[in-house]
Amino acid sequence: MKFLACASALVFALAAHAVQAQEPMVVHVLERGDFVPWSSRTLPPDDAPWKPVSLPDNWYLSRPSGVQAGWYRLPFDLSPEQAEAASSLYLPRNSARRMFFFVNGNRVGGNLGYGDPGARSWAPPLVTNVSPALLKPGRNVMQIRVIAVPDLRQGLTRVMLGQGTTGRALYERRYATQVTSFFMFSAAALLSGLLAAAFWMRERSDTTLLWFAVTALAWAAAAFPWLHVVLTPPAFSQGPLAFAARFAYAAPMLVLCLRVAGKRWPFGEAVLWIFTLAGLALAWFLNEDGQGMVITYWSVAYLAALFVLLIVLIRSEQRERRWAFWLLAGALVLAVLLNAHDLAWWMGWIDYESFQLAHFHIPLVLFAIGATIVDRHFRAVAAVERAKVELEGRVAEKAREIEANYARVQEAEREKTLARERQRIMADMHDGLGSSLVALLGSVQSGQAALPEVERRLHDALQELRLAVDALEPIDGDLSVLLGNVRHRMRGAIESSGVRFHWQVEELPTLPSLTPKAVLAIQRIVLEALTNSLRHARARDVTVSTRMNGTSLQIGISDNGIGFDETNATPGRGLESLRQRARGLGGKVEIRSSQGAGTDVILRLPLDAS
Amino acid sequence: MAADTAPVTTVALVEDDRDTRARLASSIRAQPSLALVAEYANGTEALAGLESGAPDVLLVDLGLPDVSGLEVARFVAARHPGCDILVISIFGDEANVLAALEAGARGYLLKGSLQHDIAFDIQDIRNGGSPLSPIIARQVLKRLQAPGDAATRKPDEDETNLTAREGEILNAISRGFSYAETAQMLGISVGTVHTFLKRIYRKLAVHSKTEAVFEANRLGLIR
Repeated sequence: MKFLACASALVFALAAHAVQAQEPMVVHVLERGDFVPWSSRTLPPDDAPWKPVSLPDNWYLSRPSGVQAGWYRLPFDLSPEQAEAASSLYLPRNSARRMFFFVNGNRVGGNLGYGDPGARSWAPPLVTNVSPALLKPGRNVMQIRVIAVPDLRQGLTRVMLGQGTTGRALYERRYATQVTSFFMFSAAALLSGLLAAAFWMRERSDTTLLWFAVTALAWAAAAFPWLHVVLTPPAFSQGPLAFAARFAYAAPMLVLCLRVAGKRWPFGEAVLWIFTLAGLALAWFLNEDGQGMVITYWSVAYLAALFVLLIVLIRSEQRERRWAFWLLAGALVLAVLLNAHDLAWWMGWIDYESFQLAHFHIPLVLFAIGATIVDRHFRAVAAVERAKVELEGRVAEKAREIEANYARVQEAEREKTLARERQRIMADMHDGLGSSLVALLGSVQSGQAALPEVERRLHDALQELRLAVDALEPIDGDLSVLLGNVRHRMRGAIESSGVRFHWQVEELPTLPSLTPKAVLAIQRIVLEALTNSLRHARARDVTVSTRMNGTSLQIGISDNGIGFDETNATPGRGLESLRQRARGLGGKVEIRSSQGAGTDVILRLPLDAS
Repeated sequence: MAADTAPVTTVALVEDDRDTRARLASSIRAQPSLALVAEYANGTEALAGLESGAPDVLLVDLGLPDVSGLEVARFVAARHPGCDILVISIFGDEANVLAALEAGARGYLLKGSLQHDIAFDIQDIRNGGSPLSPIIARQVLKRLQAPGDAATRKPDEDETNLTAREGEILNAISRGFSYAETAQMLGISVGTVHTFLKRIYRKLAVHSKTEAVFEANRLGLIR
């Protein structure tokens, strides 16, 4: 309940200020005299029915009935020095519709320039200069003609006669506290309201901003009756205007507080608006005498509503009581107290000269709600920030998941490729190395093979294996490298055979789609043809040549050896396997040979299909 | 070139398999131009024995049980630049041979080669390196080929990038031409081809080092 403590401290400070403002620096405080009900403009004679009266005189309490007129006469004594000095007349409140001040029967001023206090919820102080020419040493009499509406709590405060500028100083103090503060608050409310309205235009969904704007502008509008000096509203609108100045902010403010607390009470809010409209209508139709009743009931009702709202707010808002909530609760407590103070004055329960304090709730509530909105804004920003971080986290997590999935897919793809490759190598081993070894084993077992033959065939098997390994190297389908590699692998055999070797390989295109299987097949064909020429042809010259022929490649292995007749060639020379391998590649092998005329083996490969 | 007129070439052998070692040793001994001066059964022995001095030619098996054959090759290449290193491989496959070349080897020897091939290979290496296979030549070409043409190349890149002539030589080899045919095609001597190849091997070693530095930088090992 820290805020209650703060609130009461503030009230005490205000009260202390008010007391200090009434510090009696005056020569005379006129608080006793006589009164006579008297409608004439002229001073009533001494034999009129004067009755003793003491000030302040609140007509609501002393003569409650319709509009009345009457005269006060207030005697005071001056020393000769006091009578020669200029004086000023000061009244804490402009408390009646009309006031005419006379000193010793001479008119010194009135309240005309300030308009009708009935239209306002409170009244400014009054000050009037009194010329020393009107004063005399000894007994003087001040006469005041008053026309007042008792129902609007009109009447007469004490009258203070000060030396020199004393009265004016008092007047200015009271004016600052009572009136200037009000203008300041109204100006602040006007700015806040316009600002909130501008924000609301951008963010239509935020009704709190809207109600904040409406409430603040209603507070600002309450300053309107103070512009009477320049603008006097037509008589028929004075009632509603007075009502509006007093109560227009109440309903929006209550709704605003509900919204800030995150609540909606459609029924209660409807009642509130109907009640407000009813008040406005009554103020229109009732004459001045009825206005007091309207103000009484509506003040009590709004105060009660504010009080109920406060209780409900404090009791219901169980969770998450942030500082902004307590600030608002504190401001509302103060608003209740200040309005209760003014209501007590209205009911005549406290000093008639008391300040009107209700408007001091404007800056408090303005600040509290502004703080709430700002707090909410920053919490929203923080929430967005948190959400962003969380979202980023989630995105990163998703990315990781996707990466993991991708890795899994890649792994599966790799496994598949590996399996395919394994299968291919198995097939190669089976066809090539495997069958070579099996054949060799057979001949070793049967004892047919001589040792040099075994060595040669083992060597061939190793060569086979090396070619298979070479076929796995990434040559990117470079056919020149493919052929070059066969020569490289056969280097020993070529050199030891003693033939003249001719390498007529052109720059060949690269075929990126060439598979290891096709590479191996081409190498085997060339290897086999070359081996035949070296081993069996007894040739002097062996030539490997290539030729591009449109979209087909032609690889020739020729020798000038003994040749053979193709029709009676033994199957052991592997010509059929050459043809099979070429078919597997989509190409074909052409073998031209005849007895004594050498051999040409020509491999034709379609380049677009391999 | 007749082997008996050339000065005797000293050879050391690092091979863990006893039979292979014996066979290689007898092949070497069979050649009058070669003298086997040391045999090592594992990498540790080889590193210890080759610390102070090295023969003309070192044959080293890649698959040693303790220290990698590449490690031995690197060790000897760094200490004894005059020693020609041949790695022993079953297949002479691209990955192993390239790694060996990068480690400072000058070529490779196929396990299971005929005896006279070994003499050829050792003779070749004394002349400038064993014959590059077309597959490996192509791979070196790819690896050392400078991005962009020679005109726009920066001079400091020449330490690792091929010159146009080097590129031509590798291209011919990758198409299966022998060194002699390559020399004839380009109008240079075989010796010049060997000289170019030596330079290419050096570039490959430097390239592998800068690549290692690049890799290490990328991994944050070097700051």
